[in-house]
Formats: sequence, C-alpha cells, structure tokens
Amino acid sequence: MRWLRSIFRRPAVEREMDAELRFHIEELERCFQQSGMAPEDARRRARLEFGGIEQIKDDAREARMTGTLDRTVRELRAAGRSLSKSPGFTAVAVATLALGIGVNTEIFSLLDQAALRPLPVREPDRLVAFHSAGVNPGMDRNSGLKLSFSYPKYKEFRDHLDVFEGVAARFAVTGSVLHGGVADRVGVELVSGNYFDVLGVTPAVGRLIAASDDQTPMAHPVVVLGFGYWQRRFGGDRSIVGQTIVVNGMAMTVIGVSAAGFQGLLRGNDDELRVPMMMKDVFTPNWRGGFDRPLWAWANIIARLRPEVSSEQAEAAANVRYRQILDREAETLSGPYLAQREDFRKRHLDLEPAGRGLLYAVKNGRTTLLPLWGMTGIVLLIACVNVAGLVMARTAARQRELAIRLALGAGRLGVGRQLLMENVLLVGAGGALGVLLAAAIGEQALRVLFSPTANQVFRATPDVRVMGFALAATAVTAILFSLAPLWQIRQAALSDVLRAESGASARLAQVRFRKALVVVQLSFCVWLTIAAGLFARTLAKLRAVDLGFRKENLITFSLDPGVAGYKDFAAAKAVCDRIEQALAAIPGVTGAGRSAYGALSGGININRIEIDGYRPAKPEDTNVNQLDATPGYVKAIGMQLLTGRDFVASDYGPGRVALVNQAFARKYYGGENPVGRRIRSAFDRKQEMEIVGMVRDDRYFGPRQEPSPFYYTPTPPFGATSYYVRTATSPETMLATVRRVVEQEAPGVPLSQLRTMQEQADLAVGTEKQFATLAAVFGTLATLLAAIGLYGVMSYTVARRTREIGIRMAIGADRRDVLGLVLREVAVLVGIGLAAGIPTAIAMGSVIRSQLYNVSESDPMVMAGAGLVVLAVGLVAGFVPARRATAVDPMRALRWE
Amino acid sequence: MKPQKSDLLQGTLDLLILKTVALGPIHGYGIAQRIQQVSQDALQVQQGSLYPALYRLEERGYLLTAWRESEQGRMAKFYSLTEKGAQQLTAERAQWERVAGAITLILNEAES
Repeated sequence: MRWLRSIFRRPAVEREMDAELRFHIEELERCFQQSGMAPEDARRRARLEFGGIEQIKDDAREARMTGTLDRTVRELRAAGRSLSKSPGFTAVAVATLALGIGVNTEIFSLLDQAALRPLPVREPDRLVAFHSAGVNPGMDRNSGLKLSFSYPKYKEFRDHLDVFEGVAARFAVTGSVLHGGVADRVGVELVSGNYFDVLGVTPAVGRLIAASDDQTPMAHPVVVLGFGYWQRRFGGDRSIVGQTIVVNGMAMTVIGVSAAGFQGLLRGNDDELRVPMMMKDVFTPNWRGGFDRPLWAWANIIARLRPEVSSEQAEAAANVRYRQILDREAETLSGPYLAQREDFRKRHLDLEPAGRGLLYAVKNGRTTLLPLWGMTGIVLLIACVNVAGLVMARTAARQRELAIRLALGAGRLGVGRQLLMENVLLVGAGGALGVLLAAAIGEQALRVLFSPTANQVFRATPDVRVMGFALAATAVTAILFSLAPLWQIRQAALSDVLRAESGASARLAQVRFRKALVVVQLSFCVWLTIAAGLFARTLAKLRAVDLGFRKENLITFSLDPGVAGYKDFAAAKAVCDRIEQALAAIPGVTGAGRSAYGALSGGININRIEIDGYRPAKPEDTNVNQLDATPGYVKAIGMQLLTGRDFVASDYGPGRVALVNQAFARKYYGGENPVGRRIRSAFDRKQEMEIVGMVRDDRYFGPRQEPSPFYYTPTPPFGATSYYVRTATSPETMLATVRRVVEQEAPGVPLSQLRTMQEQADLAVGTEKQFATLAAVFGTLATLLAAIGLYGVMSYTVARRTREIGIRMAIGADRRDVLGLVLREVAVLVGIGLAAGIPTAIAMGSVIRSQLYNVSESDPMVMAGAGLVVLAVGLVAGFVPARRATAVDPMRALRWE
Repeated sequence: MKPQKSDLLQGTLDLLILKTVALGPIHGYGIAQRIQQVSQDALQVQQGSLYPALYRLEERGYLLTAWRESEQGRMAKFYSLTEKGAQQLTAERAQWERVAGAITLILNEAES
C-alpha cells in the first residue's frame, strides 16, 4: 500500500514533494522571464500564481496518505446523513440491536461465569473429579452429591494410581478469622499438599501450600488467602504475608495469596482461606481426625490425567484399585453393616470432568443450563430477524434512489459500499448503546439473578467474546439482507424501476417474506412467554407451600462459640444458654430457642436408631434425621404440637426424652400415637429415650422436599448452632437489637446469617426465583423485539396499501372499518404465530419439566395467559399503523402514484 | 474579453489529467500548461487542486511516476498512464458523455 510508504519514508517523500513543487514554480518563473518580465517580478508573479506552497503541500500530503481513510470517513458521514433522514427506522434498528446485543450478552455473560466457563487452572480439560454412588456404611459428610471419599482411600489413590499426574483432595468448612480486632466468618477449603500443584494455580504473593505443609496432623498452622479476600479484608497489603492471623482461635501464619481469578472448585464460592488438610481438627471439633478411618467419607478427590491417558483408560485403572480397596474394607464391616457387604462391593468409581467446577461434574448442574442457552439464543435470533426485516424494507423503499445512482454509473460496488457503511454505523451505534445498557443493568442483574453479594465473585461486565459474537451475527444479518435486494436490480430493468407501478410482484413477495418472519418471531415470543409463566407459577406454588413452622415474625442466625475460643463443652453451653435467655428477655420477643442445625439450610444429623416393635427390612430403614434442640425451640420456631407434651426445662441435658414428627409415627408406628414408646441409638444402646410428644411435619429441607421422619432431643447443641427468635411484631425492625444483645452477652463471638425467616425461605427458592426472573426478562425482550418487528411490517403494509385504503374510504368505508381492516390483519398474523408457537412449546416442555413444581408444562392457564399477552402486545403494536391508515386522505391517496 | 474561467469539479479534473497524461509522460507543470493551452485558456487549473489530484490518482494506481531529465535538462517528476489508468479514463469519459447527454436533453426539453 502506497500510503504505508508515505508514512514510513516521510523524509524522502517530503523531499520529493518539495522538489517537484519547486520545479513547477521555477518553470513558471522561467516562463514569465521568457515573456519579458524582470527576474524579480517573474519570481513574485510565479509565487502568486502558484498559491500558498505550504497549503498545497498539506493538501497533497492529505490526499496521499489518507486517500482511503479520507474516502471512508466521507462515506461514513454520507451514511450518517442518509440514516438521519429516516429517524424512525434508525431508532428502531438501533434499539433492536442494543437490546439483542447488549442485554442479551450481559445475561449470557453472567450465566457463563456462573456455570459455563472453564476454571482458571492449567488445562482444565485434564481435570476429573471422583464420583461414586452406592451404599455407604459409616459417616458421609456430603452424601447428596456422591463425591466424598475417606482419607485412607484418598491416600491409596494418590500413591498408587499411575494414570494420574497427581491426585488431590479438598473439603469445605467454615471458620472465623480474627485480625486487628475484627472477626468475620469465612469459607475455608482444606486442601491436600499437592492441591495447588494438581490444579496448576500460581501464587500472587508469597507461596502456596506444598506437600511439605501437609504431613502431620495439627503441625502446620499456615494459611493461604484467596485473592478476592486479600483485597477486601486486607486491602491488598503485601505485608500480611508472614504475619499471623487467628483462625478459629488458632494462630496461623499467612504464607501467601493465590492467583487473581482463582476461586476454587465450586462456582459462586470464593473461599477466603485455604488450609492444609492436616489442620482439619481446627475446623471440625465435632468429629476430629479421621485420617485413618476408612469408612468416614468426607474428602472430595480431584485428579489430573496424564496427557497420554484418556478418561476411559484412567477410569478402568482406577476401578481396578477401587475394587481391591472395597473388597478389603468390606471384610471389616460388622454389626449393623454386615448386611451391606455385597452392595458395598458393587460400588463403581466414575471420573467426571471437573474442568468447569465440581457442581458441573454432577449431571444436574449441566441440564439446568440448556434452557438458559436456548433462551439467549432465541432472543438473539429474534433480534437478527427484526434487523433483517428492517433493512430489507429500507432497501426496497429506496429502490428508485439506488436505481438512479446505478444509472449514473455508480456501479454496484459503489452503491453496495454505501449500504455497507450504513449498516456499519447502525451496528456500531447499536453495539455501543448495547454496551451502555449492559453496563447499566449489570450490577442490578447480578443482584437479582444471584445474590446481593454476588458482585464479589462475578464480574458484571459483559464478556467480550460473546458480545463480539452477537455483534458479528447481527452485522452479517444486516449486511446480507440489505444487499440482497440490490443484486436483483439489473440494468435492463432500470426503466421499470423508475416507473411507478413496477416491481409490484417483487414487493409483494417481499412483504410476504417479512410477514413470515414476524410470525416466526411471534412464535419464539410465545415460547418465552409460556416459559416465564410456568416458572412464575412454580415460584408462586413453592412460596405458598406450608413449611410446617411459622416463618412470619421469626428471626434466625447462626453462631459458633468454638471459633471464639469456647472449646470446652460446658463453657460453650453456658454462653449459648446465656445468649438464649438474653434474647428471650428482649421486649417484643415472645420466645427464643436454638437447634444444632438450621431449618432450610440443608444441614442435619442422621442417626441410626432401634425402635421397639419395629423390625427394619434393611438396616438403613432406621436412619432417621435427628436434631438437638433446646426446650424453647418448638415454640420459638412455631412448630405445632399434636399430641403429648413439649420439652420442659427439666428435660434439658440428660436426653431421656424425645419428640417425633408425624412422618416418624407414620413410618414406624403405622400412624398410631407414638407417645410413650421407646427408642434407642443403634450404636449406644444405653442411650434410651421415651417419646413424649409428636409435632406436625415441617419442610425442614425446603418446600420441594416431602417431609421425612425426624426425632428431636433436648440436648444442648454443640458447636455451630442456629438460633430462632420469635417477635411480636415486624422482625425486620428487631434485627439490630438481636445483634446488639448477642454481642453484649458474648463479645468476640461472631454471628452470621442474621436474617428473618422469610428471607431464609426466599433463599431456599433461589434457583426457581432465578429462573423465573430470567424467563421474564427474556420473555419481555422477545416480546419487545417481536412488537417492533410487527410494527415495522404493518407500517410498511399500510403505506403500500394507501391507494387501496383511499378507494375504500371514497366508496363509503369509515374510519372504524379501516381500523378493523388493519387490526384484523394483525390478528391473523398473531393468530398464526400462536398456532405455531403453542403446540411447539408443549412439545418442548419436557426440557424444563425438572425445574417445575406442581405445574404441568402444558398448564392451560399459562398457555391462555401467554396467548392473551402476545395478542394484546400484537394489537398494540399494530394499532399505531392502523390509526395512520384511518388518517389517510382519500383524495391524496387516489392521486398518489 | 477573455472567456470566463470556470471552476473545475474534482471529478472532471481527474478526467482531464488522465487524458493529458495519456498522450505521453509529462510532469505536473506540463499538465497545467497543456490543459490551459488546449482549452484555449478557458480552463485554468489551480495548483492547489492539481497536485492533490495527481497524488490521489497515483495512489489509486492510475498513474506511474519517475524522475527524469526534463527538456531543459533539470530533474523533474514525470507521470505516465498505467493500464488501469487507461481503463479508468475510458470509463470516466463514457460517464461524462452520459451525464452531458442527459443535461442536454433536459435543456432542450425545457425550451420547447
């Protein structure tokens, strides 16, 4: 490119230009001299004639270097002027693009971070998580996901499986950090020495945990900070490395900070601390040790495949070893576990891809994403279809202008370039507006879609790749559809185009095509509206489920005296009791109680018991949920006592009595009154309890879970405890008072998750709420876009039929008839859209069935509602052009060509 | 009285330059002189527009340049027409004739 030469060889080029111009002047001078002028006069005259040299040089320079650039800028300006002459079209097109590109990609980006993007570790595709379903005699701290294993098993995998480069383990706990007089609760990840190595994470400051830090229990009080936590809590101060902080009452040295962007293996979590696994007892005072217990399953195992080994080969090799381990352990099963030996041996080890986080390794995590992918894609599709229709219409409207340009020799390429420039401007403006929109809604979207603190973990800025993709998709669509009609204009047909009535058939075909596009858009719209309706109903039904306890006027929070140094059982009990009494004494509080685990928080203890008069078919038939609770618990949380009596103060401590729920009575006593019967712990026969009362079932695990058997014991809860405070009036106003009282009674003990029970219940339906919100947002987007598309087509149709309308009005049709005419056309379009959309939506309903609750995917009310909404929106969108039709002046219309 | 000097539109200047250069390699000053002479002084090219036009045409590949000795023995930059330039000249000439024809038609029509 010659202009490159201009830039890179400027001095030479400048000299050349100088020489050339000087030659010209001197020739002029010579010419004047020859015609008889004096040398001075000649020179002066020559200079005058020539004009300002510098000016010429400037102009020349410009022409040379920025030839193409200059032309492009000129063309862009012309395109801008052309667009500003049709403000309606421009506004609508830019709005469509902004919505489709900006809002859509923003939401997609958030979801991508939450679930789709691979973890920021080395070669995430080589990471696998160990997964094994089957009977599990003994303890399982994480039974739901089937991802937990015992430490001895882990060691054996680590030391003897060659198919892996490295096998690491981790376990999530919580802790309390005290530094500079401020305590806060944090998420802690216990990690094996090779964890950071296997994942391939580097330190941002200092060093990370290594194998040498994970040798002997309780001998390595070191901790690695998470990058986010380091920024938030310690202000990014590098000097924290090397200092000690107090974690759960133990002094630990900060040895480093992990790399920015690494947030652990669980999406949405940003574990603040990582601690060597050997330090486990600091965080699990209730169940110490376990490194030599083959039947205590707790650790998650992740491994990195060797490059030359495939996942299948590794799985086969691992299972060989697993089988040996199982056989060996099965021999040790005795007592109540004897019957499980066979089933135990049958367990199989699966290797699930862990590159996208641990939850993604579980199949459920993946299927919830499909509908979300789908919705984003559909909205983008609708936006593209809209843009296509708009530009096609515009090109058609300018046929005459373009034809004339072609006639004057502009050449198809030249005209094409002009249209291209216009599209570039449109897509550029739409994209820019989209980015602004995305930035505007980003923070809000994070809060609504995830949680109020989500901005600590996820970034609200839209992903550049996705935005680029959306921009490209819409740009390609715009260009294709605007240039396509151009190719149809041939030179021969030029005169036809210039004449009035021509191209009618082509235009009719085009209108039909656009109408078909609108119908497609409306169908998509119907899908998304139905989805929104279904999710909204699901959410409403879940919220309406009776939880069995009274969630109104109830405050709950969690407390762990152990982290503040109350390690002695008696001391912990004393402070917890004191707190409970202080809470009960607050004016406005009608009752207080506490339990070992919190309702709706997912945690529970499961104990095996023996029940007089009941013979279990399988040993695990008598695994029952068990909750330690104080005497004030039942009244405070608002459970209903059906028969018998509640706990009283004298029951507290020794644990000779128990309460059961209806499900318990149904399962073990055939529904008869359980009061008076006796039960005992299967592992400690001396621990015998008499049932003194039965309470109504509660939905302890959340609205979706059917009630399961529970028994409650009046034993002081040990370790982390959940408190319940019942208020006489609005609980929100009492939150601050509750906090103050607790801090007064027990300074230094941090309380966490202080909220009203209503908030807790809302959190329990968090996913459903997310889905409902998302579907509503996408549905609204789609409807807006479809309405715009419909408006565009109807405007065009009305304009085209002006003459026909004029004739009708001339022969007696009044405004209402004309209105009806247009609206009927709109109704037909919407009707076809509904007819296409509803059956297909029902057919696809199975995709989202798993997300619904008590709502069929072909719920007639939702279908009807969605249909009405789409119809209403369609009529509104068509109303403006319809009204414009009624304003047609018959006289003018008839004269119009 | 001298015939009126008309301002030259940029497009038509390009056409004239190409035509002039088509007759043989020539330098900038020569082009200006030739246009003035052949049009019998009706068209006078402003140097301010000449050189930018020359550079632009060279940019687009219609003209080729070379430093040679002029008739007086001094070094000057000579422009010559490329094949692409020759094609462009034909195209622009055809367009000029089309436009001029259209304008004539309209003028004739208005009178009757």
